[in-house]
Amino acid sequence: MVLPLFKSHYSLGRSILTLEKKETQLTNGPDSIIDICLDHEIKNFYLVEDSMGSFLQAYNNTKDEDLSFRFGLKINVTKDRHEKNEEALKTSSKYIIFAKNEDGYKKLIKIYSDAANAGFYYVPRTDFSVLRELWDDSSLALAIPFYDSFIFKNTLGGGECIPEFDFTDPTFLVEENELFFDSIVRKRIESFCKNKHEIQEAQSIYYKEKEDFTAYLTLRCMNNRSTWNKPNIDHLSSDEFSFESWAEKEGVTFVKSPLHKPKLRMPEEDTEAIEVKEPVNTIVKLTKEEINQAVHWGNARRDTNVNGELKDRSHAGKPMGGSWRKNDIIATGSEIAFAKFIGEEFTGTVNTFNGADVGEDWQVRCTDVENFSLIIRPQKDKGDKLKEKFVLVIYQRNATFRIAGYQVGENCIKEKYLKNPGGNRNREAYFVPQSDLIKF
Amino acid sequence: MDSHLLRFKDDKLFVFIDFETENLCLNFNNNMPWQMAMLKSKGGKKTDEQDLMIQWDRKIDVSPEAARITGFSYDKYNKLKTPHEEVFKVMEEWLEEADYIVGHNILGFDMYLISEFYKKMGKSAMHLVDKAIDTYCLAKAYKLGSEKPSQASLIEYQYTLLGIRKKGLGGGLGAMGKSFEIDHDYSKLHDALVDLELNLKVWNKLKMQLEI
Repeated sequence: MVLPLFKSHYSLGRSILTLEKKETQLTNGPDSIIDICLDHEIKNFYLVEDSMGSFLQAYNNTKDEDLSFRFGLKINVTKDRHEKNEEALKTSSKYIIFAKNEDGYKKLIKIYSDAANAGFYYVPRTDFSVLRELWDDSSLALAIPFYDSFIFKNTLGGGECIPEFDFTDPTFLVEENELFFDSIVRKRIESFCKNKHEIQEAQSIYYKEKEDFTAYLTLRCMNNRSTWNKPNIDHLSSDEFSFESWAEKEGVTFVKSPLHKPKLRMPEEDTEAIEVKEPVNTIVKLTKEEINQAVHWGNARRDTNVNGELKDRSHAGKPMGGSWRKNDIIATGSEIAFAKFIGEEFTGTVNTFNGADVGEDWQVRCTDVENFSLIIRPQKDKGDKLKEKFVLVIYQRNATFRIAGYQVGENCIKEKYLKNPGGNRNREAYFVPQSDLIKF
Repeated sequence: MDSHLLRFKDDKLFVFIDFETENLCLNFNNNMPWQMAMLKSKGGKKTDEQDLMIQWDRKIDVSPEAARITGFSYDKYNKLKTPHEEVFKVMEEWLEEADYIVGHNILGFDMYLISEFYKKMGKSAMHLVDKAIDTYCLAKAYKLGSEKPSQASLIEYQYTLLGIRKKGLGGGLGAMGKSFEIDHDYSKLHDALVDLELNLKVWNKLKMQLEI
């Protein structure tokens, strides 16, 4: 059995995985450890973090699922945490302390608080005197990580780390991630542990798929203030720190990230706490690349219309931007803006007036009049299309759009909305004011 | 008595290797080598060499800065490029045959590209690590007057040296060549084969200075 050791984004700059609730992932958004475990029928997982921050979210988002986790704090242990000089860095190496129960969790908090306060020197550090004082095998377990352990540092990093195991018997974790020094470290661990300590195969997991390495590399470069072309991060070459690698080793069928239907995170009903709702920024400005995309697809649509393929002559109002070509470019821009707003990918279509504009069931309606209504036209918007959601996007000039709100088509077919401002024959439409739209 | 020292192993095959690449990333996702040079040496003398431009299944994208430093030219590259499958065959044969694989900063850079190349071809290069001799690491040992601890293997010792960062140490290939007063055309450095020829000369000096 290879232990899956997940790390979340709470370990700053070290992982691109989150601990979000199941199935709330946006398309192309970060993967949640909880989704990964549920998708692969993993009932228990190990969460090894560099701080205590993620525990609460992990607990809250797993408690209603058939899923449990064991929390481990990966922390620097040094000879004397009060010693703060360059020499002391040589005696410092990583250990993982797992909490077995609530008592263990409380002890972890004590250890971490002391390390971040009394022991802080570049990073939080504790020492064996603290561990010895708080240790209790019924609530805590000690593991030696494969990388940055005392064996790793003493063998490859010029370290002078002396371990003390008089208070507990640790488990040594070994990994295989296609790094050249893996075999060197493994040999040293096997030699150290022979007939003394247990060795356990493990896999550190910082991203889901191997191809997510690029995203992980980007995050590491951002944190290192470097670039892809010159990351300046030692040994950052392997794409094996993925869940996919663990699945391969364990013979588990790997499920790629499902294309979840984008879900809008609506405020949860919570009667116990008064929640201050953060206002959602509904203004979307297109980038240069997105503007080019809008021009490309808008022109393609206009050309299709001019050629008569679609014969779309149903517009009654004036075109946005002063011409129908500009109108189509702005309309395409509104779809790109909305796709960006909900984290969907704009795929670009020309001849699908009846298909969804964005995602599976979003119809995008655009206007350049700030207080205008959402218009549903009975001649075109009918049948199953009315089961879809119609979103109103306001064009504010300078490639900037405001997402005004949305309503399900069926809810718009009400007499009170029916109007015919121009008085033209067969031009009646449902005008839903912005005040009746569901806000994001 | 000292026959275990590398300087006396005249019967061993040393393969020197150097890549010129698009940039300094350690993964093929974002960085492909466009030139690979190798040089065989026995008894401190060059016995064979290879200098190959590598053609990949995507276009090479060398940044203007990298092109300036390495003298990269698309015309020359397009004229001489060889499919990567053929380059791999040569590289694999030479590296598997070698007793030692030598390079300047090979542990910090080239070995990762070798590993990525093997991986691309569905193979693992992990077994090559014990053959690696990094003249950059050993240059640091020489400059710092460091000695290999008896309990450490050569590769472990080199990794320890790899992590040492000290300004003004002068462990670069050109600097080492000059500090050893080696006669060489230093204006042509960063051409893979030219680098290797200097690398061989530096190694021939270094091995006499260190008890490895």
